[in-house]
Amino acid sequence: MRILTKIISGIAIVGLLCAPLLFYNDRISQIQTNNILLISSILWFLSAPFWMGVKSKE
Amino acid sequence: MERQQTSNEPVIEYEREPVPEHAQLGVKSFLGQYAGEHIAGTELMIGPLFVVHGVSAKDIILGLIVGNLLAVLSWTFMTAPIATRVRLTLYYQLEKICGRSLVTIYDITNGAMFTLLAGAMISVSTTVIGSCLNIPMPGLYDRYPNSIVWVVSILIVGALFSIIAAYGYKSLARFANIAAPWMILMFVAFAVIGLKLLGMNSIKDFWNIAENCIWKGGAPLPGQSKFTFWHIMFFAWFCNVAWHIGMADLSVLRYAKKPWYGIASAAGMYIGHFMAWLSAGILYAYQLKQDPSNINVLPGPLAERACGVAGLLCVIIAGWTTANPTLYRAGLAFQAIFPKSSRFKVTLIVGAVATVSGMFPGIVMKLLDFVALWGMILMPMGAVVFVDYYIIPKLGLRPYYAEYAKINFNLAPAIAWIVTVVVSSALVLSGQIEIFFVSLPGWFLTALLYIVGSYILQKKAKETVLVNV
Repeated sequence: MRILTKIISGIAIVGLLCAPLLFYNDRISQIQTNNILLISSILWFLSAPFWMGVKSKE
Repeated sequence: MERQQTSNEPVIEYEREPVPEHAQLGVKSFLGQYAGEHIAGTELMIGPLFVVHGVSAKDIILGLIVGNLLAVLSWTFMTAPIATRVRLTLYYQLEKICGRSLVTIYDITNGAMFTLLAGAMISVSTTVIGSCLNIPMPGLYDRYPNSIVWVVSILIVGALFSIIAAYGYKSLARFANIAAPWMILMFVAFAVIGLKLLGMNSIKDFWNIAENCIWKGGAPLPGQSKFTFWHIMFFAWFCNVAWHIGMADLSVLRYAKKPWYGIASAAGMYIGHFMAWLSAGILYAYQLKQDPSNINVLPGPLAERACGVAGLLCVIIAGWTTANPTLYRAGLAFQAIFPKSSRFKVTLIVGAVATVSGMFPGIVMKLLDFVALWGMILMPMGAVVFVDYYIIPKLGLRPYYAEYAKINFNLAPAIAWIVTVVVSSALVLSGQIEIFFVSLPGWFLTALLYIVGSYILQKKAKETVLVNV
């Protein structure tokens, strides 16, 4: 579970980083950029609480 | 460690004893804490206000680099060495130097400033409601609430913030830590998207756009003072003066294993007070490009234009997560004065006052001056701590004099503090010096007055003892 949530958080970070860069390079529109940012934000807040600041059992 | 997990939480352990070795933390904890704490909702006000003051691109970039460096050096060479040698909170050290009664006055002042800052954060977050519901919001020159809808919106947001700060401080502190990396990336997105919307197509265009579209220099907006390199440098250095030179971060850095951990403040300064301020300025420039007559500084609409709903989320979360510890700290400051009162009730009362202050846009629209005023009022006590630690023993005088003499009110720091604030205020009000520059000479004035005052008082006390013997 912890690994899965970490992967989702990683995807969210990639989305948050890449969407503005893709918009900057004219690959996507501003509406698409904003949608990716919103989805990535939701993914981050749904996944990060499961591993950030939670001590590993190992 | 608990503190590592909820790093925004005000320190409540080892209140009256040095931090033991086993509780000391590594540099990573401080990197995270400083990076998280200095990305606040108010950064979205400060960046545009620099543009309003007509600063040039060269001045803002150089000013922020130098000013933030000076802030980091102040944390590293002034606050951290005392923090890691003494390992006591600022309040306890002040109590030993000044006496309980004087610390109470400091507490009231500190609590009042935190309350007004929380009010500004409530205003910032309310601009999101304004943006969503298209309600009339205050303009740059408004000092009083300009519509009943704005007042009602502030009441709703303020009540929510206050109730959550009173009830669920710890869970929201954890939420703030989770939000911090996301907020940093959102501020990066603001900058990249904003620059593209301003017409930047390659990195080579940056300086041209910065000089001609964002920080154009020239005349400031009507009614605003002209900002130069010196204004930006001093503002960046002194906007957190209460924390570094003012020594409030003794309470945080007393947990550091080594004094050089003060350098971790660079994470907060160069992410929050460099990148975030520049990003917010870029968003404001885009607003002016779209409609030159729209000079209002409203973070909600600014963020929405670049990043849509995610931008609005960033404004509300940045305001919320920083208003929460601010309300909590203000509550703690006032609760220290009335120890028997419940923290829950005190936080709610503080929240109510912050909400009322948030209705008045005069504070948030003059945020740069308010932050400088805060530093000017609280910084002198940091000078007292510094002098008491380094200089007083070298002059053959006794440090921690209130504790030694068993007095509740040490006149020497009280006079140094009051005279510095009165002289500084008089200089600012008479127009002889701008508020952004007054804290530096103020530090030396306090130091001098405290040394002279301590010498006279301690000598007099010695003579009285000799006469009695």
